[in-house]
Amino acid sequence: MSLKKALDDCLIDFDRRVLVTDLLEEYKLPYKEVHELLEAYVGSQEPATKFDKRFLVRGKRKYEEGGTNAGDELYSVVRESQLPDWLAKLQDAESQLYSVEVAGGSKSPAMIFKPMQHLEVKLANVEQRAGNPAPASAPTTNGVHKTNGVAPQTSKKPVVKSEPAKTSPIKAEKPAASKDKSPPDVKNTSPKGQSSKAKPGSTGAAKKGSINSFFTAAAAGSKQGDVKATPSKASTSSMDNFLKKQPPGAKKSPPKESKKATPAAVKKEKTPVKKQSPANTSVQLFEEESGDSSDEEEKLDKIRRKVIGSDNESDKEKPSSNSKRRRIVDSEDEDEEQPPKKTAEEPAVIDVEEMDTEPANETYMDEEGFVITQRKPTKAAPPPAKKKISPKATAPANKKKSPPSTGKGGGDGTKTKQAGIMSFFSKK
Amino acid sequence: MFEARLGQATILKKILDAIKDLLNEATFDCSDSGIQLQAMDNSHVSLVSLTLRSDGFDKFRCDRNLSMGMNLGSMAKILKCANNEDNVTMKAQDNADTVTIMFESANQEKVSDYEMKLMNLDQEHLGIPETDFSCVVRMPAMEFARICRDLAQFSESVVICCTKEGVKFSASGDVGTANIKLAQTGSVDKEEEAVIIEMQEPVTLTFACRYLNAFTKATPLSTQVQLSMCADVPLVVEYAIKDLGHIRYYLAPKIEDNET
Repeated sequence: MSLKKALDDCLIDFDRRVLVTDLLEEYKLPYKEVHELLEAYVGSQEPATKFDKRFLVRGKRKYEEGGTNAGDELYSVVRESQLPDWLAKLQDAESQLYSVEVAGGSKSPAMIFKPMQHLEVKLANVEQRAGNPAPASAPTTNGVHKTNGVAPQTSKKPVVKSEPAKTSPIKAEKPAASKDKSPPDVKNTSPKGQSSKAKPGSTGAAKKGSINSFFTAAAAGSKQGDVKATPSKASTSSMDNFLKKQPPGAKKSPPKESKKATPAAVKKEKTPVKKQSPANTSVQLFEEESGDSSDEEEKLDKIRRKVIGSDNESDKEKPSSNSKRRRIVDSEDEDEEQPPKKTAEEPAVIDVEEMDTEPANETYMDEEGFVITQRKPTKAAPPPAKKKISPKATAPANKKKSPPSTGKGGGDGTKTKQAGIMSFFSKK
Repeated sequence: MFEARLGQATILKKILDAIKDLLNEATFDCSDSGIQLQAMDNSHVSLVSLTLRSDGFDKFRCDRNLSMGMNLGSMAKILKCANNEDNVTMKAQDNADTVTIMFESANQEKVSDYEMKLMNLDQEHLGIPETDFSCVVRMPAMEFARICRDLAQFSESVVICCTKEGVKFSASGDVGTANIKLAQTGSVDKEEEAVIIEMQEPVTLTFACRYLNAFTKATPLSTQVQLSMCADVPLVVEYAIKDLGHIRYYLAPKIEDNET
C-alpha cells in the first residue's frame, strides 16, 4: 500500500507521534517523497486539525566567547516552534521534518527519537571495517584531544550523536582482541578446554567491540575452569554410571567394594607392579574390584602369586574373591574397563557369561587352577572403543543438563499453567 | 430504534482502544439502561465486561433491546476518522443489520456518517457471581501500567502478593528477578495518586503479563485502577469511566501444574 493511499484512507494514526523514519522504513520511499506527501496531508488537514511537528536540526555549534566546543556538529529533534531559534543558533543549520502528531492527541506518544534500523546496520558494517585498519585509531586520538576541552558537551544540549563517541569503542577493540588471545595460551593444558575456548574467543575478537570481547574472554576463562574441573567429575560419574549399568550380578558388588577399598589401597602400595594410568579414577575403580590392569605376563604372574597367597589364607574370604577377580581383569588388559561382575564362588559361570557377551575373549584354566580370561588383541579393540565413547558421550550430556536444571529450578520455582476463565464462571 | 450520543468521540476511541487488542469481535447489548458488552478473548483466559450507563450519554434512546455484533477493528477504523472533540452518535434501527456512526464537529460545520455492517456473533455470556474479594487494591492506573510493562520484560508471569504491608508485584525469569512493592499511601493531596489497600486476608496469585498489559490499554480512561483479588478466583481489573460506566477485565490466575 502506498503512503498516499494510507494517508487518504486515514490508516496512519496521527494521534500517536508518526515518525518520518517509520514511514521511510514501512513504505520504502525516499525522504523527499515522504516529506512531500506528509506536508501535503498535513496542509490539507491543518485548518481543522492542529498538528504538532518536530524537525531534525543539524548544524555546527557557533563560536561563542569562552566556548570550547564550538564547531561541533549537533543533531537535535526540536518542535516547530523552537525551530527558528535552533536554526539561528547553529552554523550551516539544516532542518528536516521528523515527526508529526495531532496536537493534544489522546494516546501516549511514540518514542521521540527512533533512528532507522537499516541505517543502523549499515553503520555497524562501516564500524567493523574501520576498526581494523590502523588509520582508524588516528581520529580517535584526535577525538580524545578534543574531548579534553569539551568534556561537558553531553550535558549541555540534547545532542543525539557525536562521531568521536562512535570511534572510541573501535579503538578499544584492539586491546580486547589481544586479551582474547592470551588466555588460551595459559590454558593449553587441557586440550578439550582449549578447543572449546578457541571458538568463542576468535568470534568475539572478530565481531564485537572491546568491552564485549573483554567480558566474553573472562566468561570463557571461567567456563574453561569449569571444563577442567568437570571432566574428572564427569569421568567418575560416567564410570559410576557405567558400573551401575552392569548386570544385576554386579550390582551387589559396589557396596562391598567400597568397604574393601582401604585394603585394596594397602595392596596397591605393596605391589610395585601396578601402574597408574593417567585416568586415576579408572585405576581406583579397578583397584576396588580387581586391582591393576596390566596385560604383561610378568605382572600377571606376580599378581597370581599374591592371589595364591591370599587364597591360602582363606579361600572363602572376600579378599580372595577379589584377588581372583583381579586376575581375570588383569588378563583382560587395561583397555578392558568392564569390571568383573560375579562373585568369586563361581568363576566358571562368570566366564561363560563373559564368553557370551564377548566372544573375542579367551578363557582357560591355568596350572594353578585359576580361570584366566584373555582378550585377543584384534577383537579386543572394538569393545573398549565403544566403552570409551559412551562415557564421554554421556558425561557432556550430564554436564550440560545439570547446570540449566539447577538454574531453572531456582528461577521457576513451581510450574504453573494458565487456567481458563470458563472454569470460574458458568454460562448463563 | 437505538440512538446514543456522546459529547466527545475521544471517550469512545479510548474504549475501543481498551478492548480491541483482546477482542476481535464483540456484541454490544443495548437496552434502556445503557450499553453492555461482555466477551472472552480468543484463548478464553480473560473476559472483558464493559458497562456504559444510559445516563452518561448526552442522548440515549433504546426502544427495544438490541444486540449489535461488531468487528472492533472496523469500528476502530471508523472512530479514527473522528476528531477528539467531535460529537459521536450511534444509530440503528430495530432488527437492522447495520449501525450508523455519525461525527459532528463542535461547530456543527462538519458532519460525517459511517455505516458499518453488523455481525451475528455466537454470544457466550457468562454469569459472574458476586465475590467478596480478599484484597482490593486501588492505585494509579499509570503506575499499574508501568509495573506491568516493566515486569513483562522479566517473565511471562507476574506474581501479585497483597499483604497488609502493601502489594508486591514480582517476576522471575532468565534475566533475573524483579520485585516492585507499593505501600499504602498515608495521605495524598491528589486522590488519583493514592494507593489504597483493603485487605481481609493476604493473597498471592500468579497472572500472565500478556493479559495484564492488554488490560492497561484502558489506562487513558481512568486515573485509577482497582485490582480485586481472591484466592482461586479471577483477578478483576476495573477502570472507571467517569460519569459513564466502567470497564472490567477478569483474568484467570495461573495455577500450579500438578502434572509435572
